[in-house]
Amino acid sequence: MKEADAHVDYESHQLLLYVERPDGTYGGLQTGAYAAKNYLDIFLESRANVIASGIEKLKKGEMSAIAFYMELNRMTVADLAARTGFSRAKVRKQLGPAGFATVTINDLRRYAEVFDITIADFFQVTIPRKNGVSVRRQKTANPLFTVIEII
Amino acid sequence: MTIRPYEHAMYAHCESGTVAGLLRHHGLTISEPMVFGIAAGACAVYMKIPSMPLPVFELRTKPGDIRKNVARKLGTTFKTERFSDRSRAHDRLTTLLNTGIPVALQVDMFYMDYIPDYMRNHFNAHYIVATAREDNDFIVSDCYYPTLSKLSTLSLEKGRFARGDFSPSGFMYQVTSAPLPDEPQLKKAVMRGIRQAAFTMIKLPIPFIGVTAIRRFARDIPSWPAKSRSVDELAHQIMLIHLLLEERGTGGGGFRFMYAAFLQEASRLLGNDELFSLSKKMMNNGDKWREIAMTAARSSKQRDLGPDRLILLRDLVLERAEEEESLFRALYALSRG
Repeated sequence: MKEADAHVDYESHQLLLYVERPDGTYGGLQTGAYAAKNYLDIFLESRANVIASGIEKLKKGEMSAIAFYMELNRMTVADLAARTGFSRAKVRKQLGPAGFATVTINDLRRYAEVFDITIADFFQVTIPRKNGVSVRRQKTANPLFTVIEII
Repeated sequence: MTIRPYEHAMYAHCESGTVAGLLRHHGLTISEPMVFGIAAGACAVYMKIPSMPLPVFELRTKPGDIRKNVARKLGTTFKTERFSDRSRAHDRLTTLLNTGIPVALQVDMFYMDYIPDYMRNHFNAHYIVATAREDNDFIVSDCYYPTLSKLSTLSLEKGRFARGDFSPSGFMYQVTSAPLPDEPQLKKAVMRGIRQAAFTMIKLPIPFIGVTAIRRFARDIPSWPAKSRSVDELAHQIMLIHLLLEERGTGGGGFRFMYAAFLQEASRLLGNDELFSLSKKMMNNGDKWREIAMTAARSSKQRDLGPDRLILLRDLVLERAEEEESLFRALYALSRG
């Protein structure tokens, strides 16, 4: 790839590509990520759709919060089972709303670590209604306690 | 005692970049493409793993091989350690950093919270270098990121002890000796690296490795719609072709641009014109892989995912298999000559 063809103007996501320089030598070029620049909107839109439809299902009790985060992170039952250390049968059971009702705090701690969320995230979502307001969940040293900051 | 700071740099690939960065810190200046080439990093793998949502298609060797192959061929020694206990792993890392030794760590990329959210996915074989401690955080050099980053102890622990495929189990390594190779030794290491990569690509009788793997991957593409739950999921699968070829630590063109840079550097070292010509062909081959990546990205964005488009992608990938077979046959012959 010629150096001139490789350059992508996208400061917030940089990567290193190997290119052919004008003098014919090959070497590294730090440049912007093509996919992040051109396709991030699609990715974010698709993620927003998963979140919106997931929240609707959660509100109606048609889905468990574990299934919601598994889908959001594009994971399989096998991967989630391996990462939590639970059997696949147990994970499958807890993916359903009825199974979720039997889940223990200790199980949720392990799921929360895999999804990198707090335990509180399994029971609520916070949707800011004002522009410019964002809500940040702050983990604390106590895994069972979360601080919500409104910024 | 004077502690020399670790010099952060961006590299194309986390494993070859980590090895090159640590060797440079220990006085052995070697380029990333040279590390990648000597370690026979160019490869092709296509396999279905039950725990993965999609079959794995990679154009590089398996995680961990680059360090091992560099050690074998250059005589470098790495001290490796694994832990079952988080606090022991933490203490050992802190002790090494306090004595000024940068340490490479295997982590799950998902917990590297300095990376933008959209880049974070569970991948247990990402490598970073821990360079120092600062209060309750670690300063880490991640070669996919332009600057040194701060990572909390908790996030680092989660990353080091994630479970699942390629579980890191606290794996870390440091360079204990990096003797400067003399010219004959370097030339020998280069030729061995080329021979090993070429052997793996064309001779290894394992169907999911080498050019056979590229063909299997290609032939599977048209069947993806039947296996996807929605158009969104299919579009995501097709976009992954772009990401794994261009942006997931490959240096572009599915690692072939970096391999071309290695072959060019090797041709100068060995004074070999045929190798120089093969480096140009490898660069062109990388360009064609990049075309596949761009076709995949456009198809995904425009939701142009009909059978004709997938057959086009299949045919483009099959062409690459043909070209790679010819290139690696030539490299194999040259390395044995």
